[in-house]
Amino acid sequence: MRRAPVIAALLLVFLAALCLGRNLVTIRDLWEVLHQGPEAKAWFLVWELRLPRLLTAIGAGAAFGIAGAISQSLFRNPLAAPEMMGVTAGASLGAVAVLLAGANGFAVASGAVGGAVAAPVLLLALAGRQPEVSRLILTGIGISLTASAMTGLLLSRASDTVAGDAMLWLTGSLNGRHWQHARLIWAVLPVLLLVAALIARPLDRMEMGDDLAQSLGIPVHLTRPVLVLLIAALIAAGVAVVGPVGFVGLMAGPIARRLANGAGPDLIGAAMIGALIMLLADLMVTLSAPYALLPAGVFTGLMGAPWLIWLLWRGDIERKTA
Amino acid sequence: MSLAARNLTLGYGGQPILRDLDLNLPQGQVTAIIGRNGCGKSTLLRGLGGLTRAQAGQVLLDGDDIATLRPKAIAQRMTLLPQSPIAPEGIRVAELVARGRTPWLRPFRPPGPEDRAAVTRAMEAAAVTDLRDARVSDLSGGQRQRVWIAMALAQETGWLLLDEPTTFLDLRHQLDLLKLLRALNRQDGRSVVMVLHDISLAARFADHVVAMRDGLVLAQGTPQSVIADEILRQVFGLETKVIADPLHGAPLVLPL
Repeated sequence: MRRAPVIAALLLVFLAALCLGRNLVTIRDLWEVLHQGPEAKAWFLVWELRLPRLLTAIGAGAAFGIAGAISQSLFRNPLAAPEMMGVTAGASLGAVAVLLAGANGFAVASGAVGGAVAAPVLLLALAGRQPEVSRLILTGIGISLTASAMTGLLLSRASDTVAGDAMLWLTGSLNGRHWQHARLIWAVLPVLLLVAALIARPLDRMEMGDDLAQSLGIPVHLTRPVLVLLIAALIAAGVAVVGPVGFVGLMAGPIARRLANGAGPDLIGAAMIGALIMLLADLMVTLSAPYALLPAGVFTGLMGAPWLIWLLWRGDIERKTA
Repeated sequence: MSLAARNLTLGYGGQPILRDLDLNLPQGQVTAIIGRNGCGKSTLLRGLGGLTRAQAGQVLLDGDDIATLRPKAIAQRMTLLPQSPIAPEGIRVAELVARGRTPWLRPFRPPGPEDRAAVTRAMEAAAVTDLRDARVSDLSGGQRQRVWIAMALAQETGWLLLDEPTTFLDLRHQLDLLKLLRALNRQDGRSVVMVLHDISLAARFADHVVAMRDGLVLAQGTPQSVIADEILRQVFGLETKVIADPLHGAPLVLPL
């Protein structure tokens, strides 16, 4: 992928998201924040409100983007998403269960992480020792549907206030994300990125089929569970800080692949595109409704659905299944 | 460099497909495995290549039981090209051939000069150098198969195992491919083992023929000794008259 335009776009959107909003921050204000620290008049707005929110957005977007790209390679399908493994549904169930139990904040994030990790562990246990791709998908969808149904059941029993909170959480949002969120995602992201970098080449070879990958020396049956757990960890990290923001993984992988104009997955590209999408969604949130902040998940969905339709229109599905 | 099976039993859970099979594959020669559909010849090849785990017995590569070797260690000594490999969408010829270097790459390191040299050599040997920038999806069946052979060659192993490399090719491309494989064998002494459908082609291009039926090796040896009326009757259930091919002297099968 030609990275320069994407990096430029990232910087531009980042800067725009720092400056725009209900209160405008000028470049001069940013300069003051950098040089004067807490003395600067825009300090609180930039350093305490916007910067941690944007860093959280970048981290979560990168995690979702990589998780999506890995899913698409793993399932050899351009429209695969971590949702197909039940990771997101598991996270939602975990979070809603904790919300209903009356807890808040960090406990909800923990519930989400627990659910996100439990789903693929269950998936690997149910799919057998050497799962075929199709079995992995079907089992994953089964787990996903079960978890969603249980979430629905829980919500139907909840009081209106709690159900409202839960629904808000389920859309995913960047509102009120602070340094604790940014620190959380950026503490785990480097480790996950390292694993992703290590797994990129085996993943690329596995797109050519299990037999060929194995005869090229890839330990396919060991690698596949590692990939499933890596997807789960990435989604868990992202969901813990912004909730289950949809469509980022679905969009980032194919866009990165298209921009790369080559073969195989582009994990770094997908991370950058994922981050860009989250930043864009955040910017749209601020621009469209400066007084009533809509959740970012609404905008990733609004961008994601048309992208999905465009992919279909381009005939990708026919080519992949042919 | 030797490749052999000892009391090898292979299957995919349940009933074994091959039972108690003993086989020595001659080094530096072209071996063809022949037999009817479903006789276990592809299973044998997968077992030899380490893709299917032995239920009992062993596959010995230079005396090492391959069940004890890591996939990467096997891949540095033996190449297996499956029957209909999938090329990643949009990949170009040189990129695909370069993937043959996978077992030689180190984590986090890009391919080095020796890898690029191996890719160049492999593309020259398989006569696909001119196609290096073409997309694999745009190639004809014969060209595409040569690209896969080039990828297998780039792996630079002593043993080359191919599962029906001529399927889906017309007769001319079948001949071209088999000539290419034999030339590679003669030039650098690579041992070639392939599953072949066509007895006449096996008779003409192999040094050693393994005839299988119902998961058993019925006969093995030179084409002259294996491709004979009695053995063909047992292997294929065919009544034949085998004569010497007037041009090459290889056995020529006339079905009766």
